[in-house]
Amino acid sequence: MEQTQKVYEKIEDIVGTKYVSDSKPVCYSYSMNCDTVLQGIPDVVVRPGTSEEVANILSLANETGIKIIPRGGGADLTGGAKPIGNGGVVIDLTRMNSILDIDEENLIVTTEAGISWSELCEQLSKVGIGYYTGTTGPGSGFSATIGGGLSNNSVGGGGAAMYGAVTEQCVGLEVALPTGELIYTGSKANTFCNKPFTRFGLGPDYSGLFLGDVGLHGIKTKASFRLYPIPEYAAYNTYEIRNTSEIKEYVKATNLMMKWQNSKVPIHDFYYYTRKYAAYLKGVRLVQGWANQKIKGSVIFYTTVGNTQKELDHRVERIEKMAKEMEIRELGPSVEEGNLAKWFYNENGRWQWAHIYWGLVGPDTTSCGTCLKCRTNQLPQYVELYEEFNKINSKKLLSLGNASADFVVFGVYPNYLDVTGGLSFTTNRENRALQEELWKDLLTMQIKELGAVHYWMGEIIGRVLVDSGALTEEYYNFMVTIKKALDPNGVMSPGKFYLTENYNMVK
Amino acid sequence: MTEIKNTREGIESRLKNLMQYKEAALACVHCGQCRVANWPEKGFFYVCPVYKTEATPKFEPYFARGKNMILKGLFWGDLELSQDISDLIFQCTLCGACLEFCHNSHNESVKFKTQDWVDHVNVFESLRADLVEAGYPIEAQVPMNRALVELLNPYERDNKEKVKWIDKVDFKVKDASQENVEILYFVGCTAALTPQIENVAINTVKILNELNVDFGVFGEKEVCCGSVALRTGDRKAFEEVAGKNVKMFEKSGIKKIITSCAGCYRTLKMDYKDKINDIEILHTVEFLADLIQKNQSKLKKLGIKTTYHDPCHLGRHVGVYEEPRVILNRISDLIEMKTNRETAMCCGAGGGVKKGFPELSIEMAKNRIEDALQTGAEYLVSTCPFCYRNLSDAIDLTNSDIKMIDLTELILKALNS
Repeated sequence: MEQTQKVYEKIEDIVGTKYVSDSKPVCYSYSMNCDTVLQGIPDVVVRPGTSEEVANILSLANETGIKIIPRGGGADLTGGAKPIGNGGVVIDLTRMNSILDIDEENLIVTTEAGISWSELCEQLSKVGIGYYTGTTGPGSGFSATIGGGLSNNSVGGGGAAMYGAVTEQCVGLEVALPTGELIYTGSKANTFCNKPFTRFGLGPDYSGLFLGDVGLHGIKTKASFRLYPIPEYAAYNTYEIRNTSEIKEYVKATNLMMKWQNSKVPIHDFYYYTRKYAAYLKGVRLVQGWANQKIKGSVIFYTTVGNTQKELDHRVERIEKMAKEMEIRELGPSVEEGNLAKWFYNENGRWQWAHIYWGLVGPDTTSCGTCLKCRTNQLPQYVELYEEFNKINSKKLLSLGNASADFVVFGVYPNYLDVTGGLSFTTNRENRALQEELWKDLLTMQIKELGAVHYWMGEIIGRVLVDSGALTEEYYNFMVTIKKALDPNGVMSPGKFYLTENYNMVK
Repeated sequence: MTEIKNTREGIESRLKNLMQYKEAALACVHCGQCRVANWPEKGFFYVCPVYKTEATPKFEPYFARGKNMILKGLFWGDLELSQDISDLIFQCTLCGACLEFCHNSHNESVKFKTQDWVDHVNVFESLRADLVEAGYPIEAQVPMNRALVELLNPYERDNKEKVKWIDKVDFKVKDASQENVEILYFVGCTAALTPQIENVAINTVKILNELNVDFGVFGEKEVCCGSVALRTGDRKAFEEVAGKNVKMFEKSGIKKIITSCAGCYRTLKMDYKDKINDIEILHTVEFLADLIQKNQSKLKKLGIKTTYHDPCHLGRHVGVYEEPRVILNRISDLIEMKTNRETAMCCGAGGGVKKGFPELSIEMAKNRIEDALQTGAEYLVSTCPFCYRNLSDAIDLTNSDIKMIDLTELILKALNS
């Protein structure tokens, strides 16, 4: 704390007095992300306005040993955008929100990393014929920033089934290294190449060092992405999958999703809600009129797009043929009849909406994310895992106000699924220890029993990965070696994956 | 000040106003969509008008999520009420745009339960009351609330000046405190005491007269509705003036109150709800929309292009969106701003911001003028003297080529042309 206070004035020199604060309520407001279980109050918060300012703050951190925690939109689900423990300097990157270049000839946009996904897509929609980033960011894209999405290898915004995780579209970065240097990755690393267009061709894919790094290796200050014209035509449909055996429903859904993915027919998005979840939505009367519908099974829906009506018709024909072969029931055309796809695409604007389920549980609720990526054919096993978790922890969950672990499923390009969900608890802080224990238990089950590949490493998942023994000694040494080489003084995001604590493992 | 310990009871007694909204106060899940979300399908282009300006450093507490984090810190005993917190919590116009976006409330087909319990405006107002009661008001707002109690208006003026505008009317305006009338025109302090805006009052009575409405005013006896005190956390001052008003309403036997001030309207309609019975509260636009429907032939098209600014107190707080539009569409070519109705950006005057943080207030107004200019309209129309004043200030400061006008002035022109 004392050390951080000493550097306060130096930070002021870098960014100006307006954009740095050590006010207690300001710092407190940066102490949590989306959950209330994990908390760490920084000593200082700073909002730099340029890449150079970010780099200078990092240089200062190296001189003084203060710890740095980068933060984008703060929509992180697993404690990644706040300090682990108290103290340190949170760098809030949202001031760096300018779009720097829109290359319509090569369909590449270059932007500062602090712009939100929804802001970027809105601006892009007004340019030329109208563009977007394909996948519209993480599910939290209304608030999440470009830098945060890339740091978490996020997925979940609309377009995920067609364009994949946000990192898939990245063709280069500008990064402030932990020691304070600014570098470009991708084609722009060639000083004679003035436009970013590919990640490769200049040696190893160093962009990859910073994608999904949860702020371990540097601070992304700029990023370049591929652009896509906003499709002119769209279609959608929703089906009920019903069987006397619940597990057979999951198997049928899995088979259909695999068929869709492996056929390579372009599907913009598809979602699957288990029987339990569909019943829940019906019970809480989320969808107007849905409670009156005879939906008893699970629900699957898709949206697809085309640049011409003919192209769209062809795609719809192929998608629906596969659905019909599965003998599943097509719901009516209106949202009231169950056509959630219509709401999703037409009314909601293709933004992913799982996050807004948070508010369904109760007014005093927190969500502990366990979002993960899995091979599509693993879905039935995940359903069983969640059921098993809820069963063996039923007493504990009941003691936390009838909490339970839940999820929804959506497709991700090229052919895997996102099992997005987690645990919902009341925010009662007296229960924090038990909440954290259950959260870790669910993550450990996912990792050890099914080899889950999570994103949102944040604080908790990176640590559970290490604690559960999922990382081999050689792999973990490799991680520590890279981290130490880039961040010799351990100033960036200390505590994540316990890497800085284990610097003595490597020379 | 007596020290109250950090026990559950201590916290609850410190936060006694906030405790009434505890459920709503803890509803935030920290998703942060209340900051800058752009959602063209629903007409959202940015959410928080404070955050949209560069007048603040834009740390988290300058939009709703950060304020909600502070609330949790207070409830959990991690934070104490302080001047630092006041300085953050009061830099908000309580416009309610964050509430409109919270958990994506705008869905025709999907009903999120969250809509039933989130209530940012009342939550933040309650916290302000707790802060003021703990001795942490915004200094610039203190004289305003003191004047409210002592002089019966927040402008620190002699209340007798509230009749000056009546001299400019060439017919008799009844004194509702002396004469028997069923309809009270509640003028409001801003229109009655601000020479640049007194036309709102003059035009309103002229229209009422033109349409043969039997009404009266309280004149120099009119007591401020107390809106500014309520928004700035001085509930004692509010209760004092509200009590005086209620007595006057009861004594005069009025059945209906109409007002051309969105702030008075919201306060009388929502915040006096439990204090007055059997008195109908209407904004002038609601009252006139109905009357004008019946007198359609009297209204002439003015051949002008207008755009309409939804005052937060009329729109988001009470839900009156269409009545002014019905009138404007009839008398002018109405061009909507990019954000309108539920998603309209605030003018920056409300919530005590104009008094407490004038630089922030005017920057917000400048942004709204920018929105209005984009429509190409000649007139920026409002139905709130407070919006009128702040937006006019911004027009002057930016030398913008758009004219500020209150809807009553246009109605009068349309009636007389």
